[in-house]
Amino acid sequence: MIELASSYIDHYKSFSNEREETKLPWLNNLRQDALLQLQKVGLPNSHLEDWKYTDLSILHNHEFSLPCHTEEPDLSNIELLNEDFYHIVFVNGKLHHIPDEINSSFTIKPLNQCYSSIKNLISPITQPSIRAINTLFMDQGVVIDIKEGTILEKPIHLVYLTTENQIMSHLRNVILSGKNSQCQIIENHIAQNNHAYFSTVITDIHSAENSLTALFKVTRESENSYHVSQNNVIQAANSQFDYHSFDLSGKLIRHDINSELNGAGANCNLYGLFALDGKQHVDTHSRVAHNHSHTYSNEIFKGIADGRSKGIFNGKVIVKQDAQQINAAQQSKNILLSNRAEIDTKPELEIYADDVKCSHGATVGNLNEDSLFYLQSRGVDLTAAKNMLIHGFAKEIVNTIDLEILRKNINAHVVEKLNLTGRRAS
Amino acid sequence: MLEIKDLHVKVGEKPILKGINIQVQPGEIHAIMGPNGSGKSTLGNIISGRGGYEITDGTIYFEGKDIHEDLPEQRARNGIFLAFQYPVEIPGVTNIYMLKAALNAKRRAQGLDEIDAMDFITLVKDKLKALKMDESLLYRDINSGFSGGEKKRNEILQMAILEPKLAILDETDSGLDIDALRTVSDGINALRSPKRAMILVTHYQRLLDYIKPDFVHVLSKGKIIKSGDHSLALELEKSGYEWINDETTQSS
Ligand SMILES: Nc1ncnc2c1ncn2[C@@H]1O[C@H](COP(=O)(O)OP(=O)(O)OP(=O)(O)O)[C@@H](O)[C@H]1O
Ligand SMILES: [Mg+2]
Repeated sequence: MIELASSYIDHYKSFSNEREETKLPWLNNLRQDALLQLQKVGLPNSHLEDWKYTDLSILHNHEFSLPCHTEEPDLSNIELLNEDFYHIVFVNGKLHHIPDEINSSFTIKPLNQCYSSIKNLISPITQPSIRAINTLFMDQGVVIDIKEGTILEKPIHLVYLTTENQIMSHLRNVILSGKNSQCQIIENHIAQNNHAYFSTVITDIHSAENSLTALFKVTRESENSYHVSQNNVIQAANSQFDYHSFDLSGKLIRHDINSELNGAGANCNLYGLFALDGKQHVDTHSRVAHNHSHTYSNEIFKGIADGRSKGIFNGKVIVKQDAQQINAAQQSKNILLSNRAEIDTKPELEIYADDVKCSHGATVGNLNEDSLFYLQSRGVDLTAAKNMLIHGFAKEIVNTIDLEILRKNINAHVVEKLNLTGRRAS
Repeated sequence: MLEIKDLHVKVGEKPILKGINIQVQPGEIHAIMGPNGSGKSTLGNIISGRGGYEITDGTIYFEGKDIHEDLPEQRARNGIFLAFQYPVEIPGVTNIYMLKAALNAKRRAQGLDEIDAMDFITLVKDKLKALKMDESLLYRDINSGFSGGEKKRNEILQMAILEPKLAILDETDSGLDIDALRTVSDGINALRSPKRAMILVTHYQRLLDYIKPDFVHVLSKGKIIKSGDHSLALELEKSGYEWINDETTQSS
């Protein structure tokens, strides 16, 4: 028993007392499994290979509690809320707004109202991960069900706003992308203060045949926050999953993206950008499993680290035995802006088939001196030249967003975050 | 306009320029020729203010002012332009964005307002046409995936827009086909003026047929070993550098 996780376990006791889930024994069992794992190994820590650089056991010492009541939040300054999207708003981990019944072609429902319909989709806890703690406190979140043949004309926009100090929130979403359906989903993680909090968000996506799901994730959490997310995507034949992630602030951010390519023609495109400074820490682990012949994956992850920040990218590609005609490309490109910043990047390939096209490249470097001199020799001052190169570097990922309103919005934040002032440029 | 006296330059422990003297007046065209590795590009870099070199002796004056402490961008805004032997590819930054930033940086330094967006486009398109460049190159990332000839034209395009007082063209002719050489030469000639000086670094007489230099200098092992007029270039074309080496060793 890990004593340090005990505060979470205490919280769980009061959490479960408030719930009437005795009607759902399977869920209780699931929570018991989660509890056991948490008692045994605690939160994922550096003893685990996948958590080598990101040790969540530091959170054992924090007294984060579940938010009890929440004042009416001020949503007036939240970006994109005025756009003509389907908005879902969580405040301090609680569902605050959900679109009214829309039509029969797709539904958005609170998670805790549809457990029984998704029972078979909630996988058991196996490996140590944040799935344990997230399952333990699973209650809030949404189930988005996009019915066969539905092409969503508007994106779904999920806002996760934190306004309270010392809280934790554990959200679980399920997205069902029906056969031949298409949707775009935006996840905006934001905070109104510099509060300390801990949130886990797990979004499981089930992509049926020939569906297209695009997920855009923007993480602009508070400077004292811990944000841990997991995306698990199960992809049937000819389905496509696009992932675009932008990490701009937060004390510690960890993302796990797992894609299971289970049918011919299934493909995923994973793009990520982190821009760090101060003592920020961002760790992205991707895992793409080519379980079937004729499956394709493409990954481009870029990072920029300034100050004493630390960025990690670990990209695992697995090609199962007998999965032939596979194409998997992975690139990780990184720039260090300070000699005290650190970036660790590692491709991990497990290939058990032979007809496989697999490319990967990983670079970590400084801004190119030749490029800087070239720009300076045209009259551009050094700071502006650096900014041009940094923005140019980030642009490749920003430009993967085909939704124009969102691209402009994210670009503005990326530019703001990356603009070197005179002080930082020196 | 440019006055270099007894310039000695080292990289690390390696001396590269060993006492260069050169004087360039407004309106003049100087050609610098010389074997590979003799220090021609280094000289251009030094004049433009590139870091990484150590000037151990000598002075560089531009318009009567010692510029050795000026940053590259300051020199550029004051009118020095270097067309690179190997133009750098910069992914993610479009050509037109850099051109505008460069022009506006210069205008600000001169106390002028930023250029009007429409005027800028008109200006750029004009120059582009003169250089027979495709408009799409403007919106591509700087030199990224440009052919060798496109890169060289792009250097001249930048020069045409920035209108420098002193242009150093480092092997702008190499890698150009015959037609491109003519177009680029026309572009360079169009900028000739009694107020503007140019230094052409080249290995070939061909360029000098189009742009007739007032002076030709031979740089060898970090020193100017011979200077003369246009006929020196013709002589070099015929006999190579060996005869000068022989001549200098004999006379010394
Ligand atoms: N940063 C550097 N570090 C080490 N050596 C250098 C550096 N820069 C230049 N050199 C050396 O200085 C010498 C002169 O180089 P430079 O590029 O000026 O020659 P060049 O005359 O332009 O030659 P080319 O005709 O081939 O372009 C070469 O021997 C080169 O290797
Ligand atoms: Mg050279």
